[in-house]
Amino acid sequence: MRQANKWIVLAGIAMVIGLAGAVNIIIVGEDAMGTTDLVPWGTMIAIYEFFAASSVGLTIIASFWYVFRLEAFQVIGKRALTLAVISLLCGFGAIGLELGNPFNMFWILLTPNFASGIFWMGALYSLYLALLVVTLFNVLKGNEERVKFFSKLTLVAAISAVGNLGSVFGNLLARPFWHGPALSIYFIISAILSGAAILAIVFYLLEKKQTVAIHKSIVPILGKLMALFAAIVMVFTFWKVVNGLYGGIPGKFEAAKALVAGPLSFNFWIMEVALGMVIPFTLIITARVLTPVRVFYAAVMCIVGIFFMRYDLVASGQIVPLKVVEGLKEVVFYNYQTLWAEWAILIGAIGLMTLLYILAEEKLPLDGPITELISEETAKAAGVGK
Amino acid sequence: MAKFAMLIDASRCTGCGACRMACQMQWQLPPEMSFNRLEFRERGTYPMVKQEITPVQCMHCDNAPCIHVCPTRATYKRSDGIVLVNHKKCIGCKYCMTACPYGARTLDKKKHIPEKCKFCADLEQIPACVTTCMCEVRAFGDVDDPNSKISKMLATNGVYQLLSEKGTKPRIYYLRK
Repeated sequence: MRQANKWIVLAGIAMVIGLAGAVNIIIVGEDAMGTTDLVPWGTMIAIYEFFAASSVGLTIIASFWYVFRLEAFQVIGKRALTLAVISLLCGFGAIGLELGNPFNMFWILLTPNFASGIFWMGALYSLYLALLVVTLFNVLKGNEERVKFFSKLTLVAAISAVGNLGSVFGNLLARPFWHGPALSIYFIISAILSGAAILAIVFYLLEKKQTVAIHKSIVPILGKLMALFAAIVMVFTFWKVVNGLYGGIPGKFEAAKALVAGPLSFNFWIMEVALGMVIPFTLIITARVLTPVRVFYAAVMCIVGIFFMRYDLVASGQIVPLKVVEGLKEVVFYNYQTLWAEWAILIGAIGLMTLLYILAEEKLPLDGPITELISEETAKAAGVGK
Repeated sequence: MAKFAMLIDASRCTGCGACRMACQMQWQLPPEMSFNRLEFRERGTYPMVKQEITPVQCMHCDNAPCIHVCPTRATYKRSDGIVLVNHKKCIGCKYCMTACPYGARTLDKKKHIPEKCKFCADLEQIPACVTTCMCEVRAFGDVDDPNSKISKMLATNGVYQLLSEKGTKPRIYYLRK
């Protein structure tokens, strides 16, 4: 039995679960999701954000080689770009299911509203996907000159797209916890964290199975990158919460309170902060020898945490009741629950990403050049190349 | 050119909810859906407390966030000031729902369209919520016509708007108490 088969079976099961969720959403509609008039954006938006931002993170890390010529990252280039395309397709799948009338999208071309963040999201992400595919195509064909040209354009489009994704939330004056330019920066840095974690997981598994040419393991380097960006996201998160609590600004205060000591506190402290940032960061910086397996565990926790980070952002901005009229009201926070169909879509999207990646691994020439042979001793210590 | 607006005297409201019912009947809405609502607020500290009721609906803002954020221009403003949704163009992204500081949108789950109060546009009648109210809480009319009832009331009374600090320039005014 081929090694990939186990993963294909797992991905297949995940996709069946996802398909059930998708069918449920298509048949039942809005009621299949936990969203309400009070909390109109839910987990599907978080799933979309998760994949769309991860895609940009993967592209940014790939550009460490294609644009900035950092040799250590050469080995991950093709796979990072491939994963970026796949991740974005999964994200588009989730948002397509979330939209009430996705077939009306052609009106974006006929009567575009240039003031709308979602118009720019469509425009920039489409441009980014097109450039990404062209770059990947030229990378696989070995057209060095074209790669140099298109990889730079792709990087600019990627950062513009994810920065704009932040501003889709940041532009809304009605939601004080989201409002401001900070989310655009936050989306860029958290995208890199997300990309580093995905690459660390994928490369650990590939190195373990020896499907990549044996080189000095890239996983510890990805681990260090992950630790750096986990630290930056931690600083951002700390100040965002302090800023929210400080001074009791209406809307901001309640949202920050929902995170630290409200309905989102488990998600925030355990999933987002502990699992997503503090534990991975600590695992990596306290290691005497940073082994790939250690980075792998850190990356798995980190990527789970990042999903909850996206979820918390979407939920915290909306569960705070809008203060239209002054005075005391009974409701402190609106209720929002993710329903099974939404979890199923998340599982299905992960399955789809896995399956598409396995297919890409088999069909596309992804093996990079051997840059440095790994010594037997290091391989043993690192637990790779068995 | 007519410019429609509404004036609400919240102090007259008894909280009977007839405005909601009339709106639902007018637009044939399901029970859970409504284009207007009553906000109940408790003011003061015990024993000096009282409950205040404020009718809230789409403000038909002149600087409407829902129009700015709509990617396909499905939400648009007519020259008479009324903000409407073109169903054909709506992709159902619900950006208007997150952008509205008044929470005025409600999702039509069958059509997947965030709907809202239309000031009973194109019905050639005063909005149902205005005509049904036994206490005459709402006044509706053309503020471009100086002789209209609403123009006279606006000229002779102190009024305020909800969340005017958000810069939305709402077309619904509230009488000061």
